[in-house]
Order: sequence, then C-alpha cells, then structure tokens
Amino acid sequence: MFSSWRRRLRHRVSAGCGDPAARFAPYGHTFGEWLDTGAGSGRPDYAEVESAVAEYLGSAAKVGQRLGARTGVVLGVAGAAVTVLAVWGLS
Amino acid sequence: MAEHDDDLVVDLSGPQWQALLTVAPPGHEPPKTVDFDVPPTGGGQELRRIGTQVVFTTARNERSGWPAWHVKIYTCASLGDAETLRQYLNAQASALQRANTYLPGAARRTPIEPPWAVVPVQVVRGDGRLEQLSGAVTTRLGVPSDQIVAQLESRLPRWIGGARPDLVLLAVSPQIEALPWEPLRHWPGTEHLADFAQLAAGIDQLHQLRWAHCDIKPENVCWCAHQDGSGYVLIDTDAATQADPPPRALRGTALYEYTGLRALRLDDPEGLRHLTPGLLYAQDRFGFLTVVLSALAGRHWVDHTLLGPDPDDPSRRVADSAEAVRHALRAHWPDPRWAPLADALAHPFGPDGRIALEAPGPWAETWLSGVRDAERRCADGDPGDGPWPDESLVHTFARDLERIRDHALRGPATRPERVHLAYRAIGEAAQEIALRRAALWMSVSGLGIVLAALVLAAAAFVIGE
Repeated sequence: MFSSWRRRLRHRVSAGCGDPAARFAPYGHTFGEWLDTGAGSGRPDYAEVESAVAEYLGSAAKVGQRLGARTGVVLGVAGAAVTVLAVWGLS
Repeated sequence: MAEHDDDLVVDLSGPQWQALLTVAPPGHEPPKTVDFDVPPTGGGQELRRIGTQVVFTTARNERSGWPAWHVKIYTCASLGDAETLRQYLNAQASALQRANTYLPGAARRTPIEPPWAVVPVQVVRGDGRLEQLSGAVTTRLGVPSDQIVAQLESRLPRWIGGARPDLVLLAVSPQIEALPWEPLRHWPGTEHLADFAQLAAGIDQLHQLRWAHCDIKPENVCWCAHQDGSGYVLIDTDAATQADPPPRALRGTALYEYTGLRALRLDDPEGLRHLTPGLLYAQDRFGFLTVVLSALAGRHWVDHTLLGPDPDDPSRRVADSAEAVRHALRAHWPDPRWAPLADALAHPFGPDGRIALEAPGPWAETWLSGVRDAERRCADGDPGDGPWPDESLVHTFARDLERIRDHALRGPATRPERVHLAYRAIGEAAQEIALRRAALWMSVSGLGIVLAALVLAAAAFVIGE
C-alpha cells in the first residue's frame, strides 16, 4: 500500500511540476552560469534562476502537502473511529 | 628503450619539459591504406601521391603532461616517399601548432598540455634520428639512432610489420575522448556557446596562416578541460592543407561538404581541380556551423534535417538555403522567443552569408559573437516575461539549492553535462521535498484527528459517567 502511495506521489509531483529540463531550458546559458557561480555574485539574472528553481521545489512541496494532508485525514478518521470504538468498549 | 622486443618508446622534449610515451601494440585491426597528395618539395604544380599503410594505436605518457596519446604509424613504400611525407607532415603539424600560439597562459607547454584549439601533432622518425619541429620541440624514438641503424630490421617491434625503420614515420597527438552530442535539443543548447570561443579563434588563426583543416565535423570536435578552463578542440588533422596556394585534390567527409564545393563537384567531376583558398576556408566554416548546430539543435537534427533534402526542392539540401535553414530551425524550436537566434544561425547559409564564409579575413569569432548577441536578445525579458519567481522560497530551500549545485559540479563534466546533471538533481530534490512535506502533513492531520477524537470520546465517557 505504501509503495502505491509513493508511486502516486511521484506521479503527482512529475505531473504537477513538469520536466525540469523543459522548465529551465529557456534560461539558456544563464542556467549553467548560475550553477557555476551561484546567485551570490549579485547578478539579477542568476537570482532569477535561483528563485525559479526554489519555486519549482516549492510547488513540489505543495503537491506533497496536499497529498499528505488528504492521506492524514483518511488515516486520522480511521484512527478516530478505532479510538471512539475502543473508548465505547471500555465504557 | 626496449627491454622487450615489442616495446616502443617515443621521447618528446622542449624547453623545460619532457614527455616519454610508451606505445602500446595495436589491436587486431588490419593496417589502413591512406594516400597523401603532397606538393613536391622542389616546387612545381603537380602533386605527388604517396601511398602509406597506417596502423593506429595508443601510448601512455610516463612523465608530466597529457597522459593518454594517440599514435599513427605510417609505413611508406620508398625512402623518397618517406622523406617527402615527413616534410609534409612536419609542415602540417607546424601550421596547426601555430594556430594554438595565440591562446592565453604564460610559459605554456603547448605540445603536451592544453589549452588547444587544434590538437597538436608531433612527427617522429622510425629510424631513431632526431626530428625538430619549429625549432622548439624535438622528437625521437627512445633508442639511439646508431643502435637502430646497426640492427636495422630487428629493433622496431614485430607488430609494425617488419618494415625498414627508415620507411616508418609516427605521428603522435594527445588523445581526447569523443563527445557524445545529444541527438535532439528541443531548446537551444546555448550553454555550449561560451566553450566554442577558443575553437572559433583557433580556426580564424589557422586561416590567417593560410591553412585549412578541411574536415571539421561533429566527430572531429572534442571537449577538453584544463586548469584554466575548458573548450572545444579540433582533432584528426590528416586532411589539413595549405589553402593558399590551394591543393588540387581534397580529403574530407561528403556529408559535411560546403555548398560551394558541392556545386563545383556536381557541376564538373574535375571541378575540384579549380579550388580557391576561399572555398577551403568556407569548407572549414561550414563544418564549424554544423558543429555549433549539433550542440544547439542536436546531432540528429544536423545530419538528417540540416544536411537532408530541402522539402521544397529535394534536389538541394536544407543547408543550401538560409530560408530553408530558418524554417527548419523555427519548426524545431517553435517558441517565437528563439527567432533572433534562428535568424543569426541561418544567415551564413544564404548568398550574403556565403560571401562572408569565403572571405579571406577572420570570420568565426565575429560570427560566434553575433550568435551570442542574438541569444541575449532571445533572453531579454524572458522567461522573466511572467511574474518574477517568489524569492522568499530561496531561503526555505537554501540547503536543497546548494545540494543541487554541488551535485551538478561534482567531477569533471562539460557544461552541458553539468546542466543535465542539475536537471536530474532538481527532479530528485523535488520528489524528496514532496515526500518530506507529505509525511509531515500526514502526521499532523492524522494525529490531530485521532487526538481530537480521543478527547471527544474521553469527554463523552466522563459526561456519561
């Protein structure tokens, strides 16, 4: 069950965030230069690349957050039902 | 040299450096027949055809300098042929070496260390006599010549084929790994452009010396890293020739033939006897265009689209018309932002561009700089046309960003390879982050609901009591 959940998450991240090559290729050589020097050089175009990569990671985090929260609700409701039944049984 | 009959050692030395190459016996490939059309040493018009048997092998440098070497062993039919070929190969190697001399770096050891635009070649005599190239490099088989002469036919390893040592010439050059060009690039691989600067300058320099490589094509361009940077390097200089006066025959690869040369050959099979220096320079520049386009658009695109038949006129290639190249590039990169780049790349294939290709002055550096300007125009305002990415996330994912850059920069790799490593690392980091975040929210929401239910149930129990 866990591996199918992992597969679903992997699939949703790929579908939701897109192919990194397609996302960053439009930055052309600026992307490679950002890799070499980082955004610390103060160049606004490098800072833009870095922000874009961070945004890509941020969108992956959101996908994880959504699926995690939904799964948590389902598991929580199931856990709550077990808890209520257990308390009922004890009473 | 030779502790063993099969050992062959080549000694290369220059001012304050020495390389000692141990030549490995070749594989089981049979010798290849290679003919050279060489200008006669005493002047005159008619070229002299020299037939040779060539064995290809490798060597390892036991001293400082480039470690792995490529070795070609030529066996000629007569002493006269060997002497003429030796002089020809030396002149060729000298001209190619001079094309590297403009490269930066004080006290450089060019024959054995990069940077190079054209890979240097050294000629070594099979008879053990000293050979001097441009007065700066001496080469010699690692055995005193008197020993070789005394034991004439027994000292060269058996695998050379029992040839007389004075009929044998060796050409040694640094061995550089072939570059695996990507088959198709659906976005221009502009990260390559900076690394082409050295090669463009080298080609211009070679043409200023009135020499042409004549076989520039993707498989003859390798990438080489060194302590001061990296760049593309031209290898396989067998076809290199003096362009002015031009030769009356040409070696090269038909697929990458320049439009003007192709027209000359197709109009008249004897047409290549009327070569001009401009056509030879244009052949090199056309080859350079195919290399740059292999990097930007992909090798498959170059071999099958650029050099394939023009859909509007199948008797011509796409590469025979600037308009056809422009259309093909725009179809390959449909995003309109790349239009300035496609125009700059297509221009040399048109009539105006061909005039510039055949001009005697330098061309490659200026053209490459124009392409880089065009690429900057494509980048102007884009992808920043959309909203500026959220900068606050940079701090949230600072460690992940650092890890992605570290992963891409680890180990030797070309700039394009590093970019691909980074794409992969970004994809993997995104999956990891998503999993981390999913686990966190699953725990928070799941435990929250269970706790709430527990509290409610406990409260109900207490009230019920």
